[in-house]
Amino acid sequence: MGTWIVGLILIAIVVGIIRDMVRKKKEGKSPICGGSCGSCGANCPYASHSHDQQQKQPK
Amino acid sequence: MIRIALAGNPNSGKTTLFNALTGSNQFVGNWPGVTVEKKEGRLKQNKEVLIADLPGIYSLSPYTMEEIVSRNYLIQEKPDAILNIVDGTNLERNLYLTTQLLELGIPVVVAVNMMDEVEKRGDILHIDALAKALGCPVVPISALKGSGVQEAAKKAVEAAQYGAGECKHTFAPAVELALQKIARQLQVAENQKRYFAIKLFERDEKIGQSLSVVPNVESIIAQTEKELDDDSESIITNERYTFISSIINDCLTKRNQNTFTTSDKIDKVVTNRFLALPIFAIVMYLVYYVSVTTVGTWATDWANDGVFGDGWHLYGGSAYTEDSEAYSEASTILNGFVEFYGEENVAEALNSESETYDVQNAKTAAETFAASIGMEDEATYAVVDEETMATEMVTATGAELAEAVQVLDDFDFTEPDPADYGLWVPGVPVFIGNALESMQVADWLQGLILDGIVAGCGAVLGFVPQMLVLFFFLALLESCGYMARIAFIMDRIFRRFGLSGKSFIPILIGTGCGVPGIMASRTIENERDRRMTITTTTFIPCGAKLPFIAMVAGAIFGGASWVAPSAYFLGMAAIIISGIILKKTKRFLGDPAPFVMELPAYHMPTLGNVLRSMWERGSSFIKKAGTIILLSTIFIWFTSYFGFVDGSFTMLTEEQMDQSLLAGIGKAIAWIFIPLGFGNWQATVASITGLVAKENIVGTMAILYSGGMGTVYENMAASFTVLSGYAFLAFNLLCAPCFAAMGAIKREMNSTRWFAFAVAYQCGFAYAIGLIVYQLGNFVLNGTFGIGTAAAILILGYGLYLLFRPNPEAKSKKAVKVNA
Repeated sequence: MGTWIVGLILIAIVVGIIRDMVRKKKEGKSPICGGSCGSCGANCPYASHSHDQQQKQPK
Repeated sequence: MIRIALAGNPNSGKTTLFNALTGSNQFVGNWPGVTVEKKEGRLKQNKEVLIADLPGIYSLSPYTMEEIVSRNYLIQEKPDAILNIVDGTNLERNLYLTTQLLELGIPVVVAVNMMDEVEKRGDILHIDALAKALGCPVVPISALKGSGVQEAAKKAVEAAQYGAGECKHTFAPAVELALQKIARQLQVAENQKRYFAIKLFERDEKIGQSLSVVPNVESIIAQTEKELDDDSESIITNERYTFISSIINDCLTKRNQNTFTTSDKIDKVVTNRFLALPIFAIVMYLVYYVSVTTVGTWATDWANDGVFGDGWHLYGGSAYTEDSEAYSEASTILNGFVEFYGEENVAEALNSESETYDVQNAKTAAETFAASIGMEDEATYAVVDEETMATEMVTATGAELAEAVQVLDDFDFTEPDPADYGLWVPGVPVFIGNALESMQVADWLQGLILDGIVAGCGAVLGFVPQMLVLFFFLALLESCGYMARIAFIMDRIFRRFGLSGKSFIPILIGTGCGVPGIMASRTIENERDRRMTITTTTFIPCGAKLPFIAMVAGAIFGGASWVAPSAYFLGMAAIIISGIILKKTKRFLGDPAPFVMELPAYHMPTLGNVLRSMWERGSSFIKKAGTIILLSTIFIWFTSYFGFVDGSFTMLTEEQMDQSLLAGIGKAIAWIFIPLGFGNWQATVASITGLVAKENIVGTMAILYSGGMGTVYENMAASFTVLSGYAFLAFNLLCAPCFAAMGAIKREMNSTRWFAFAVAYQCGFAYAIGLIVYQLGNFVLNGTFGIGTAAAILILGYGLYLLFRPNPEAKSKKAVKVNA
């Protein structure tokens, strides 16, 4: 019984993390960098508002 | 919704003001170019007001990418008002942008920042006179101290609601006439005509993109240029400064015009031609030494051994430490004698790990053995220092043995239990382990949670105190203004090799995280220099690499204090060497971009800002440990504890981990690293998982080296030599960064070819350095020579040739000169 309870809690945590990462990815943010946009000075390329600018980068 | 844009010169305090107004925690640095993207936030007091923090610009003539970002926002998105932040200590130069902003037809409020500094200097700013001269509201503020900030926001909201006044400043009659003629031909809103007329007059190449119809005004410009005997852009620049000069004396009374400020005096020493570099080296050495070796280590030891270890004492720990040391010392003497005399039966009786261990038997065996040894007899045995892993030969007498047995007897041959002393808090693994045990959770799930998730994430989290200490010092250096000086100092060195000091700003930012470091390369106008900077920026150890550096230093180098600073200087050397080598290749040839940087005044960092910066950076690692690192540890545990044994897929014991799925993957690739000395599957796998996030190296090592008799550090020390350990460190420091940083490289390069080049160069360079360290180190220290040594010598020779060969461009310039 203990195995089932702990196993289900663990699965719920893993599913939660994956869902959060997918959501961030869809929002154009990085699922990897920790999402500390503040520490990047919002220079983070994954911050959604910066995408317009990135498209305009000269080649 | 009211939209207010914060615009101003670089390092005038826009982001500090933005944070104060919106309650955000955006990164603030005391050097120009911190913000390269616009950021938005809502005003704390009025959520209907949206504040946009724009990158710092000196003018509305766009030269760099962040200047384009600011200008495009102001012209195309037309905010309802502009809050122009002006550095009060440098009013004259800052007003140049103000004159341009006033021409946009958007209501402007000028916030004169750093008023505390102005007052400290004894200067007097005549706010009313300045407001009258500019024709817009002026508010004195100190964004750092928070004074006047709300008043400035209030004025900006009012300005947005009531509209702009008329632009007050005018130019010479001939210029005004030309501008009027141009304005008449423009099909734009009335309040924007003056701005577009000036830009067309200046022959601004990009302004045409904002106009539906671009009139031909060349004849008007040419006529004015002829009349004033100057080019149109210079005419406007001169006119602006003429206007500023005409008002500055009425608006600002300076106490001392020519005396040295405190900043100037500090700079005389800190940026001195000869002292600058040694001071920088000492400062960075101290930062890494304190962060990793002293304060950081104490904190991390507590986190690793206490929070993520057995536990820690809230009080009463000293009595336990005393007893524990006495017991440990006595055990060492007894075991040393037993080993020296080869008494295997006594050794077995004393082995507390043995399943047949019995306290009474151990006691009897020890006393009988001690009685058989004379007081004058001696035994010599090896003692391994747990901290430094150094082995020392120790000699003890029979009298010392008798005393040791007496001590053990006092403890009833039972190791002191920390829970019996003071208030003992069990560590996370103990707490979770007990909980799982009481719930009768299956062994495999206990293993996954304790040996996988807790061990892996705990190993990463255990280094958070060290990171926080490092980030605290970096924030101090940034905030006080020293980091900006480093860029200036480095420019002097970089320039000798054809590089620009501008490349140093991204490196500076990269010490926190490589992603914003790469993004900060946008401040570099020269595309070749920018690409080179993107390629080399991640060589500097970012915060995520710190746990890995500390782990290698602690496990393989016995906590040697030079390892962590050497990692920083290795990264710096890699950047300079790569810069010199790349700059001589066809892709990167060219003069370095000019580096003009305004050195900000030194100021005392505020504790709040420093702590906020430290926490903002540190908290991202904690978040990462709870997400991507946690998932990685689950993957690593499953693949390292499951595999095929005798053809059947099964869960493995610690002794069978060599047959795991992960071991299979690692072994398939490990051969690549054999010449670097760490061709074992554990180190190979750790290097690969490090690509997901560099902290993963620590998590992976903690899981894969946790088996066996020793601790993770002891097992690591047994798997690496000093040379292979440093080669492992060098390779993982310099090779391709994490996926997030690689994504940033791809985005910034905006070219798959250039992205592939950058990653290939990083990996190739890292491999070459690792090879040279291991092979040549082995040759020098042990006299070993093989194919690897020959390859390392060849690579080193070729590297030195690339480093010292003449610059092809200098050669061609010389040829041109001769021909001429």
